[in-house]
Amino acid sequence: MASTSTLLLPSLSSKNLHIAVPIRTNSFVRRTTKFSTKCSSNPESKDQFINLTPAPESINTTSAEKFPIEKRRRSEIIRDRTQRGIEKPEPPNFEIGWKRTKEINLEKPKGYVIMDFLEKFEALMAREFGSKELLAKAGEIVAERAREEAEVLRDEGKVEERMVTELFRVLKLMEMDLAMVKASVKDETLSQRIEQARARCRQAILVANSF
Amino acid sequence: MQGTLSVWLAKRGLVHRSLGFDYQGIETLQIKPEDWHSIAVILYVYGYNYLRSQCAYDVAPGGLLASVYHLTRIEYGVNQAEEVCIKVFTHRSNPRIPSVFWVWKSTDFQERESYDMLGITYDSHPRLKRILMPESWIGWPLRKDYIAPNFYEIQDAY
Repeated sequence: MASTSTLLLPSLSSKNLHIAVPIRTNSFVRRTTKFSTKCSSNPESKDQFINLTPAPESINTTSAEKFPIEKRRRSEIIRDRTQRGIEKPEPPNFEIGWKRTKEINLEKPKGYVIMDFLEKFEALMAREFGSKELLAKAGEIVAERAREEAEVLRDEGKVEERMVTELFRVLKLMEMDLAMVKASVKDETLSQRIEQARARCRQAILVANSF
Repeated sequence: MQGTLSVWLAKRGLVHRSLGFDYQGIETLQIKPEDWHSIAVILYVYGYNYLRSQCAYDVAPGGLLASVYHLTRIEYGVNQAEEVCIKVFTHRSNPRIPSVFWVWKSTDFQERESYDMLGITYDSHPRLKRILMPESWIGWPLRKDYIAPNFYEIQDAY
């Protein structure tokens, strides 16, 4: 193997040396030919050079008036815009923005919670309430809760004493009506007494609304 | 073991059944369907003013259907709201439960979904009709005895 590699190296080097010589010779020859053409002192070549150069008279032959490109004209649109101006005047009888015509009342009455409880109970009496005893107990709980809310409002000073007293009286009457509902036997009597209790409940709602 | 609400209801003489507590510690009660209207008003007046969730499930194949109500007591200044779970059971044949839409408005679409999936009819619901499946669908998909139709039958259903 070592002998083989040593044999390749001299052959490559010899080839390179052999190839380089003719390239240099050719380039030298070409360069010499170029120099000979440039360094010649023939008078005819000078005349040709002079002829190739443009005459000084023809340098500025085109005048400004005869310039081929036409000058830019002003745009009519731009002129119109400048005349009109940036802002447009407001038309007559034009209202800016939408205006609310109806106010939304977000405030609730002071007795809103009591009204809500009583409305739920009044709606219960119009539906299937299970048994009479259960309806009476529900009425007691609703009345008790309404009294608690009324007492809280009175303690905070938001409601007058006489209004609270009136509400308590109506709630007591409602409880009495519910006791009559509980004691009823016939269906006809039951329906009549339920209607009476509902009317009393609506009366209590009106009292709570007037707080 | 009884919770606070169960003790209060028992003190008032209201008929119910305590089912203990769920895995989150929420008190669970069972109410009769015929008493649900009155109990709903009582719970609303007690303070449970928000219906957080309503759903239904099939207890067992051929068994009862249950309607579940998760109620929350939302108050100002209270970070941890008090919660309770109410379950109303009904029979599989002609299941009817009173609707509480008139007490908690948030139960509207949820009761419709329960009707659609399990066939529980909520009485006095304003718009009780299917909400997910088409109106022409046959059967209640979430019942445990439901037989799912094959691909071609689904095409026919539409």
